Amino acid sequence: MVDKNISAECLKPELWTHLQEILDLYCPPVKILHILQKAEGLRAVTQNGEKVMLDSKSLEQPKGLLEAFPAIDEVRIYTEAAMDCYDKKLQAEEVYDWDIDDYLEYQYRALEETDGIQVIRRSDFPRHIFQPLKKWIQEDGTYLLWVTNQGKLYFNCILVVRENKIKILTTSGRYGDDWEDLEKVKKNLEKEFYDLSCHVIIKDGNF
Amino acid sequence: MKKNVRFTQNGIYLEGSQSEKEGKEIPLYSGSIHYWRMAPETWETALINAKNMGFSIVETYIPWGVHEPERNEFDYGKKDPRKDLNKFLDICEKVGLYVIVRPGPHINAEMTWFGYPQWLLRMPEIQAKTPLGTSVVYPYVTGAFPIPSYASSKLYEETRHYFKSFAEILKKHCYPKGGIIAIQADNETCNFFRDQPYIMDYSEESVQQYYRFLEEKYKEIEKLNKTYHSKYKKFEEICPPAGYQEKDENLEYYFDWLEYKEYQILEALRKMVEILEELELPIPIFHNCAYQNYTPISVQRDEEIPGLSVAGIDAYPDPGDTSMLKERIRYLAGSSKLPFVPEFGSGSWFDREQLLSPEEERFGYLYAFMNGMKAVNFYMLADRDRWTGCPLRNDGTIREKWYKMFLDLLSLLKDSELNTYSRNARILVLKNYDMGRLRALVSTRNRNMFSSNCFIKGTDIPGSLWKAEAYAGKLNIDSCTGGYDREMWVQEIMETLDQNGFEYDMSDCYVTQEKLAQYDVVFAASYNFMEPWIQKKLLDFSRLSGKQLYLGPTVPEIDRRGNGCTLLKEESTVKTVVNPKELLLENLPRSEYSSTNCELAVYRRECDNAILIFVANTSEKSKEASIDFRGRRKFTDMQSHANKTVTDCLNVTLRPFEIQIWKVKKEEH
Repeated sequence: MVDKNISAECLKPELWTHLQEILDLYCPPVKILHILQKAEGLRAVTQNGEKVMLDSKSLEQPKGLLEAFPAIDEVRIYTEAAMDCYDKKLQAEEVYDWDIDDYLEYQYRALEETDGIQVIRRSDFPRHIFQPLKKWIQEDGTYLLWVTNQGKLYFNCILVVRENKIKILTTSGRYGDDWEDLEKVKKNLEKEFYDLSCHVIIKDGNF
Repeated sequence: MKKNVRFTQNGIYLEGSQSEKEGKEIPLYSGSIHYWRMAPETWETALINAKNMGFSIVETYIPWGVHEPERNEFDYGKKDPRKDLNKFLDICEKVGLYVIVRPGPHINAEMTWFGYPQWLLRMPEIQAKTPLGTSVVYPYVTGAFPIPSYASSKLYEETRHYFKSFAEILKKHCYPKGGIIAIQADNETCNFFRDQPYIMDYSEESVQQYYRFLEEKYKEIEKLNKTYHSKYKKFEEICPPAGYQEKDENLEYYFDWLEYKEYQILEALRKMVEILEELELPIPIFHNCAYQNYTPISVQRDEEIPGLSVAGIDAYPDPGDTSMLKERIRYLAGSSKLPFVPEFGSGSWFDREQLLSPEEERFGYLYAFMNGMKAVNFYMLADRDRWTGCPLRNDGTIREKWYKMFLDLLSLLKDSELNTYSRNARILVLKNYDMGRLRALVSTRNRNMFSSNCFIKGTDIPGSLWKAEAYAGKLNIDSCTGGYDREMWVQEIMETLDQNGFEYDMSDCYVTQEKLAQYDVVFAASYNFMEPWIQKKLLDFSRLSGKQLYLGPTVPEIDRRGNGCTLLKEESTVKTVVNPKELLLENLPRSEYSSTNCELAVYRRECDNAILIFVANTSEKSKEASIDFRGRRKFTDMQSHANKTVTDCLNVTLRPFEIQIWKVKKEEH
């Protein structure tokens, strides 16, 4: 999906500074409980490294951990040996030919498919931004995301997709004084990328 | 090779030439422009605007992957005019700009393969290895690639070949014939930020280098066996550690691995410098550390490499950051020959969570100058692929608010002649490098391979999950949370000194004896262990007339191997500070200027005793601040040029995150 030579250009800083907020909107941060099974017992930490006391009985019913920790979205249980196996998969020669979104998908799939690693999720939340993007981007074209904050332009992003790959990542900053006007930006996009159909998502929020 | 340019304490000195008979010293304030990422017809506009902003020096990378995309097929503009390096340098000279060049081979610059040609990275003999035998992945947002090994002889062979391809272009443009005044060796040489001990490098060449390192250190296997309590017949029997085995008391085995990784990086830099020296360019060579002042990186040891003049550290502060900048810049001030930030964020990479506003950037720059920065390269001056927020757009035209900020800033720096002043802190705080090593070695393998950017956080498995819990060594270990370089005692000393208005620099055991002697007071973090050579260095300092040495939280009694070493314990001149909050302050050197409600830094110029004072409001609210002294002074605001003549106290109003610079002159009543 992401071309290795993707160009990220004309990123208007006044808009681009809100990038993380927009990513969080479509791919909200999740809370994960990581549990390492060692011979001498369990070690459990949350995402920010905070220790959690657990006894080995809690692993008899791993799904019960989601009930025991209502704020947690996902529980992962590892062993060192399983992680060695997982690490090998993620650093095999073939991964260097893949697009990054395929690699990301693989790293999560491999986590769930490696013997000795268990992953228990509360719901089917997006793991990375390319998952919601893939749902939006179904064909070649230009994709304009226009986000306003109580009516005022807050963020935008234009993706130019050719041959199923995102070739250009840009903003309305490429259109000079027209950058704040949605209709003018659309017209400019249609003119510049005349061979591609234009898809628009408009979102208003309270940031 | 005679060099026509050298780094000085105030910037950079250019020897006299045919066109300019007298040599001159200029401040080292430069900014980055990437020629290959801009249309050639925009180069001149960008460079003129950079000059109009106040810059006399620009900087550029020379990426290998751009100029040799296919093996042995070089392009310096014949096929793609954007790659015409010679033309770009011509224009720099035409506009009247000096140039710093950074040919890598490691570049980053958000390039898909970090500036390396892809064909090089796919060579198996180039690749670093994990302990599992796989290559080491760097999962950049445009695609993963394998990290090269610093031990790979093939890497240096190919680098040499690449560097020869541009040698004649650079020679033609080196000062005084042209504008190039300095060149950087490699870039942020730190295993692509994989600086944890057990991720890499276990490739064959690296393991052979490890054996050579051990042999250089121990000379004979019997001496190693004595230290390790082992029975190896030869060095090659040793299996490098791939993680700390809990309760293992043979710590020296792990310390040696960490020291080897430091050695590998120093060797890599040494080789890069050698390759650059072969080009016979009459300009000095420098290096930039990424961010580390802990294992496996060391500014002071970088500067000991023959041919490497200066090592700086890069800085990309978050909005309003003071703690990172304070520590990093003061560490540079206490460790480096020239406190230089070769990459100080201007704008940002495209996959960063947040960009900084011009005001936030300005605050960071002035705060860094306030804490001892003397030379800086702003990265970047012009927008380019995968970077935005610069004072110039990608077509070289001005982006108003950022441009004006730099215009004002450069004007302030020039008017105040700040580079000719020095901060001259009298106090030095020494972090404990060995404690950083100890905290690093008691980990198993950190599994979190993914880089931190907002698009691909990856599986994000916390490093603390892999930290050893059952540590069984005789060496006391600092329990501070956070990175290896965090030490509770050091943090508390810094807090105590900060709260009481004392200025200090920072360093560690690798500070040179000469630099150490410049300070009146040294606070050295020490635990129950300290190597004899470090104890001797501190002892020699403490015995100098007028010097004070404080150790804490405890005085060492053993060395790293557990052998008795009480050089400092037996010395009566050494003071111990168990609890920094109870430190007695009366004997510490005070500045004649102080403030109880804002941060202050005093700069002096030796030749005329001129004084500049920085006063900073590091909070989100406006502040009324006072600068206290004795006597009558005339204060001139270096921004507004307003004057005030006052007795004993200057009152100022500071906006949120504002830093003011005042020139001070003593007045008779």
